[in-house]
Amino acid sequence: MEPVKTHLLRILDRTGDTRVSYDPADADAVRDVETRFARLMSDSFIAFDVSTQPGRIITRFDPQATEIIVSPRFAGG
Amino acid sequence: MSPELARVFVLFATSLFAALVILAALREDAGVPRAARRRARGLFLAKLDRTQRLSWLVRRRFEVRGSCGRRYTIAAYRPFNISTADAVFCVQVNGRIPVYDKLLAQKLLIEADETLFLAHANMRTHSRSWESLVAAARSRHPTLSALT
Repeated sequence: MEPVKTHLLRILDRTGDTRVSYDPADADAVRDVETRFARLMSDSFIAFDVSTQPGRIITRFDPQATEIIVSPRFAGG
Repeated sequence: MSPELARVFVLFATSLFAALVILAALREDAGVPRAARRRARGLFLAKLDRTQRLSWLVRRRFEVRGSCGRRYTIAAYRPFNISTADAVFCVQVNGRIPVYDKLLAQKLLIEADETLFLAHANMRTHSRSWESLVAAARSRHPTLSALT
């Protein structure tokens, strides 16, 4: 049976956003998303868990977060 | 200066300002494919609540409540597009991404961690209370000082 991809990692990028959906019960998929997340964090991206309103900043991947939005870093203007 | 000439001057200055704002917005999105801009706009609007969305569609600005409770207005993306009654703030989002993504990132930052937003922000104000708030925020995030 096809896994139900209920969780979403969105990466804000030149295409608008890249969406990576995954099933939190699928350990391989979670590991892949976690690796991708870690790479983004090491590139100084910033991640928001928007599963709840308001969202919160996370620095470690939370597989239970239903939606995470990752943005490039900020700088003072 | 005659009143007529003054009116013409004001009209010219206003038009020039509007043109510069539009040009700045276009330049910010230069090189970003139209499909990406459309996609980013869809996501941005989807992440606004009903009041924010209506405000954006009608006035091109919307209000957000920071995680510490203060209210900020986010206008079209440009330097110092975030404001309160007595201060304006500039926080740029790096990277060649659509401006709607940048607006969304600004909103998420303010809502999720107002102190981090203040630590990042370049600010213009005459209010001493804002100056002390920003100083306190930067002392909590000392590694950001070099960026601002």
